[in-house]
Amino acid sequence: MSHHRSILFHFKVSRPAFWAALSILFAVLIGVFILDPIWQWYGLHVPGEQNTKADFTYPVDTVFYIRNAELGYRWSVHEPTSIWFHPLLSWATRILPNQIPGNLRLYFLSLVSALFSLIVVYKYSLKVFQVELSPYLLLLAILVPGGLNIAVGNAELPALLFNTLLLLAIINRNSGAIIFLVGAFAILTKPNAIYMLAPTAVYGLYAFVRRDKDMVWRCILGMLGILLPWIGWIGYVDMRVGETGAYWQARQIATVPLYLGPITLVYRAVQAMALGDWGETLRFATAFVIPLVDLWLVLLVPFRSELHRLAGISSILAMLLITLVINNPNKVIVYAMTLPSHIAVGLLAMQAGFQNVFHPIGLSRSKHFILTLALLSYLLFCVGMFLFFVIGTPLEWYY
Amino acid sequence: MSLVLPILFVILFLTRGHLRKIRLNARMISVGVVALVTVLLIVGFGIATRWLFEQRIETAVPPIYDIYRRIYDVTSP
Repeated sequence: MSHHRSILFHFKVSRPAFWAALSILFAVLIGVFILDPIWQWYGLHVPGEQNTKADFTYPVDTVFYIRNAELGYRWSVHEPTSIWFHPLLSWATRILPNQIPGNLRLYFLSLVSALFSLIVVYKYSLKVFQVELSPYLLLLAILVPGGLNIAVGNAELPALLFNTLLLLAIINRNSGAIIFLVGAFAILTKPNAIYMLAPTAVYGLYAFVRRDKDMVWRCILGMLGILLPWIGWIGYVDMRVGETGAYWQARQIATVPLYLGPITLVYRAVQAMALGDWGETLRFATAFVIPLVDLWLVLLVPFRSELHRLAGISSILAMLLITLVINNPNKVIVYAMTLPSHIAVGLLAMQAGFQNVFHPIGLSRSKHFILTLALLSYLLFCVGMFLFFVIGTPLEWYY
Repeated sequence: MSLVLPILFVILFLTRGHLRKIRLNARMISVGVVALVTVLLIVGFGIATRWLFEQRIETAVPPIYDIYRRIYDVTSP
């Protein structure tokens, strides 16, 4: 009996899918019993529409994906909240039975994406890290900055799924067709897929230097998989609107040009911190702190190859660079969740910290103290970001 | 932005002999890049703070834009 029990226990704990599913269940409970009452109390509403209430199944701009699914695209530059959004998630929502409300259909898709995302991020971690990530740690995914997004309906988790699959397909040397297709799915889900151009380029350049032609072609196909469907979608939007440049014209509303100088965003951040309110301060602070913490964590955790470390750094830098170039600090906390390295590195840092706290084997007292302090600092940061997400979402602090 | 990748390709093509030699120091590239970004941001924040105090701005400056409110203004009848 005890033998059977131990086999069953071993089977369960060794399966990342089991822990990923448990994490999703945990996230759903948090969504229903914690986020929903708090956000209802704060009067969560559709951005820009004070009188249209929303709930945790479609916070922030998720409602615009649902409208695109239910009403179809409104092809006009005067409808930016329609043509801003890429089509894959709206198409998938439309395919599901329309007897179910649109928000629940999208929430379901988001949860399924989150489940598969956690599994593929775990597989990605096995490929790139020198130490094995414990599958139990997936339960703490909601604690990684922005990880609470798993508990709500959103487009970032489907984007994370395709972005991670793209990197895995390249690392695993899958066929070019698969790599191209995954890249296409990623960009048609969210424009954030362009972050993946950076790690793909890093893998490609490394292969180029080593004269690994097969890998170079895979990486080029990955980049083309992102770029060609994107160009295609931009052209399609322009055609349907009947105006060349309509896609970018709509996007310009969300972009502050760099007319005030090369570090305008930094200047505005300092202004907000010195003179602004809590929301403005945190909006700008998180835009810089989240990528910076990620960059330093990537330096600290052990990778199988320095190539994977450089690829991870490049994706975080791509996010930071785009934030600076479009001069827009909004939503970095949720955009970070589209990066495979963000969540994997966060979980591994927690694991390393816990191991050093509870099993400080072969460490001097001073090293043990420093690592304990580092873990506590990171956990404190994660808890802070958790609270920022809970309170900042209904108060519009990050968008 | 779109020129960055082709330029990188050309630089790498021209310097690949040297790159093979420094491959072992890839960790230093990561450390260097992250340190550079951190320093640039710290310097940027320092310069921005100095500008702010030199201009003696004492009242809260409204956000340059408020994304959804602006859209609401555009889209409201």
